[in-house]
Amino acid sequence: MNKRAETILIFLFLSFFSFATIYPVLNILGVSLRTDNAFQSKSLTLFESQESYTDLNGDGIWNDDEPFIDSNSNKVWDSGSSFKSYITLFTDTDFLLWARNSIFISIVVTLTGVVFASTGGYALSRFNFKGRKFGMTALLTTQMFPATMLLLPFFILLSYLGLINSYIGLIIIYSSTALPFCIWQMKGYYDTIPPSLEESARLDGCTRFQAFYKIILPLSTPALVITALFSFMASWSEYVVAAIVLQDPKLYTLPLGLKSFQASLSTQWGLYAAGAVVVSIPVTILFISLSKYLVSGLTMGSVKE
Amino acid sequence: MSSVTLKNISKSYGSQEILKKINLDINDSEFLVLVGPSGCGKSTTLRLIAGLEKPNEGEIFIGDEVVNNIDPSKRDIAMVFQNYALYPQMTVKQNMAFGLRIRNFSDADVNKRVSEAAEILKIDNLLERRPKELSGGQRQRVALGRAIVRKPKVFLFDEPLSNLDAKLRQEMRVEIKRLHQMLNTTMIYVTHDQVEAMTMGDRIVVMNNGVIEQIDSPENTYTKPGNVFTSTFIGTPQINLFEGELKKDDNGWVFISNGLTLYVEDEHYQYSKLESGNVVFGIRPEDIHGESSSDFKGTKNLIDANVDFFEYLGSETNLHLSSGSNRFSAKFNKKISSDLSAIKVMFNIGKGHFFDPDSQDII
Repeated sequence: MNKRAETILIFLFLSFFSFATIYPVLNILGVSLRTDNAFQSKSLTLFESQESYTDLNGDGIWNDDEPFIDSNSNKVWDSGSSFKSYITLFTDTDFLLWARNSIFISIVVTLTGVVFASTGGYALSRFNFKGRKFGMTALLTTQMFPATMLLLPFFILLSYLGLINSYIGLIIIYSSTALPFCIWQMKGYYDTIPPSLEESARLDGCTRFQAFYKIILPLSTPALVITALFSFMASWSEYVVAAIVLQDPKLYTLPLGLKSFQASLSTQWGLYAAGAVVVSIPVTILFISLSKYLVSGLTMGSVKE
Repeated sequence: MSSVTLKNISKSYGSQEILKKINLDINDSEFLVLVGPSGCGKSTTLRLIAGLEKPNEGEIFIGDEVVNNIDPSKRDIAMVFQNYALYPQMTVKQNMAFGLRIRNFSDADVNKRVSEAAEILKIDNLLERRPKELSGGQRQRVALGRAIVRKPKVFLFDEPLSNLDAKLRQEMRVEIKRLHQMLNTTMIYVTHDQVEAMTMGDRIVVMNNGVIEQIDSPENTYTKPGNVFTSTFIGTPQINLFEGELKKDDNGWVFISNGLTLYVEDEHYQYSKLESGNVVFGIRPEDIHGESSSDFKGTKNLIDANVDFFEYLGSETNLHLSSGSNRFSAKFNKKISSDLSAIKVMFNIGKGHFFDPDSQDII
């Protein structure tokens, strides 16, 4: 195959997957910008306002059989676009409260993850103690169970401890499910750092702990970033566990809150979509700003330099 | 400055014995070299002195103080590692200052000591660089600098030159030796390279399989090896060893091995200790002379040998010879004509050594 054809093929392949990835996101963005509940509407006139209609059943939104003035003669009702859903999201719902809850939980889980994974991984990488191998295998084994399978045991455990409907319960579960991966990740990274660095630091006058946090920890930034990101993501976007642990709407995290826009009879798609867009913004920013660590962090540790 | 003493030190990992009750006295301001093949326990010995490992048995003294339970950070020792172990996130200056900062030296003191050390090692123009921007030789200098700024009681070197190329290694060898003369501090140096051991050490400790085979001056380890191992480990090409029998006839002691018959002169340093029976005889290649050599004399101990092949090294030529079933090598300081296939050589038996075949020790 010549070079040109190969390039075109790669280009087509990448274009297809880029489109497949971006389409749902754009769709959600579209829905969030439509006024009212125009989930099914295919058109999105960005700058034109909503075409007026006669609200026959008085439900406040346009329904398929209601007459409208087709001002641009395209034979479909144009909802126009506005930030109405976003404004409603922040002013008329508990979105900010859920965001606060989510931020609190995610930050605590991230901190816990970083503290325990960085120290636990270090112990597994540097010390030879009884039960080390067993412990590592056990950590790995916990990763083999799907979260849904653990729901019942989690629920029983938390009710015994009286931690249902509390952040602590949720934080414990999030941390403990994210930690095994993070510990392995940190251990793998520490393994690539020559032990002579700490030995050198110890002879330079450091205690074991000083050698760890003054020399090894600063060198492990890429792995720490991955650990932090993973812990953050694990709690930020989690729904299933949160749904069984948290029952009080005042304690809801963002995914639970968003789900509450979906009632049994009608769903506020505009709000739902706007919420989804806002929720994904911090994660996107985190990913983009940390991407350079992400690539180096994931590849380093696999190859010994 | 301090002496270091190891008393009955044993160390094992699980069932694997690394060091077997070794005893070692290292004098104040001595340059001592631990040499031996890989796995002989020399690096472990160094790590025990540093405190990075704990002995299973025995006591380690630095000066008069037992340091077995003293943390490495409190032993006032500096170590130079084979892979330099520079802190990658710090500049050269920060690397060198790290140990001083940990010990809460004032800024003025830190700067003074770092610039002094940098000047000695000629790295004052590299102070703001990071380790990855340095060449191997420069990194090694920084590692030395980091060790000397602290003015420790004892310096430890763990094969510091083995990652450098031959030319640089020679330069650094001189540099380290010069540093020792200047600082006059106890230095313990581990290497598997006998050239480093011979050229640098005030004394050499030859180790093998977790025991000390010999502790002596470089000259004595070469000319008066205490056992077969030392005689073979020190010297290139390796010493020639012959297994055979000693007999006494009218002319005195005769050594016979596979058709090789050598007469032992009565001025041989072991003459009075020899007894009839099996022995191992060792003779260094340079003590086997060709007819062209000024050392070729007498009529005794002349052997007709076949030339199997030879290695021309410029200033000398190594000949690989055989006589009967015996193979041995000789070192001539002359070029040998390449079509030479047979040669008459003289064994200067006075320079050879007789070892006990059972204990492998010198008789």
